[in-house]
Amino acid sequence: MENVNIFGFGSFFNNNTKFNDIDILLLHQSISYESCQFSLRCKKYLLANLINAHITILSLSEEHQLDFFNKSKAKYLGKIYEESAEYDLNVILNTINGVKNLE
Amino acid sequence: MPALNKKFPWMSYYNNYNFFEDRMRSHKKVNSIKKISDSFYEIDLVDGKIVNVFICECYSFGVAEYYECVEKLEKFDAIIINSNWCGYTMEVKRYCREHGVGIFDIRGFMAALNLNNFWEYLTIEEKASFQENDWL
Repeated sequence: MENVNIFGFGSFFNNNTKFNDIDILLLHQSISYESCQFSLRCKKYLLANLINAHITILSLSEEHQLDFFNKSKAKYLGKIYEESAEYDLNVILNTINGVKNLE
Repeated sequence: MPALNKKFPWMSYYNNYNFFEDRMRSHKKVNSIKKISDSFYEIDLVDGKIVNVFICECYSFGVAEYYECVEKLEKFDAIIINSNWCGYTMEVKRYCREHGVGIFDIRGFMAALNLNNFWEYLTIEEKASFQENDWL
């Protein structure tokens, strides 16, 4: 079963009241077809349900190469499991909307 | 200038690829170029080969985006990342290369077109990265 870790980064997640996008990173396990397809499904769902979302998808090895965490200071938002994807994604959306309401 | 368009086909911030078109027209190995759609070009080479090019401004083009392209595009031989603000991962470079597809910035594509197997072209930095990972 596939899973994807979700992180937020950029001005929206850094308590900046001025932001253009909600930057989200989907971190998936490998560059296999299945892993990439599951990430793309998660991305599609988030884009459909979150205005101004800007989504980056990286595999673990791609993240390691780019050193994305250190550079972006990404914050962990949660994990999406294939068997409970819609529920997990809605939890993430609620978390993001919670951050929005604090602005 | 950051990439504006968040969704496939990650269209250019300026809504055109004029610089890419100009560079292609000036290349000695290029006979002509044909714009098929906003993000898709047919590059006709002087040796008679045709290179089908998808061009975009995806902020960080990885293997997942490659699969997205495979799903949405009929056929392509090369992917060009247009903006200096955007880039691609070494994993997708390797993956595309193994599948006979080139992925480059414009400068890299200009150099690659001088090779018969243009998709195999690596910049000095890419070559070093490939060697470091034992991919060569």
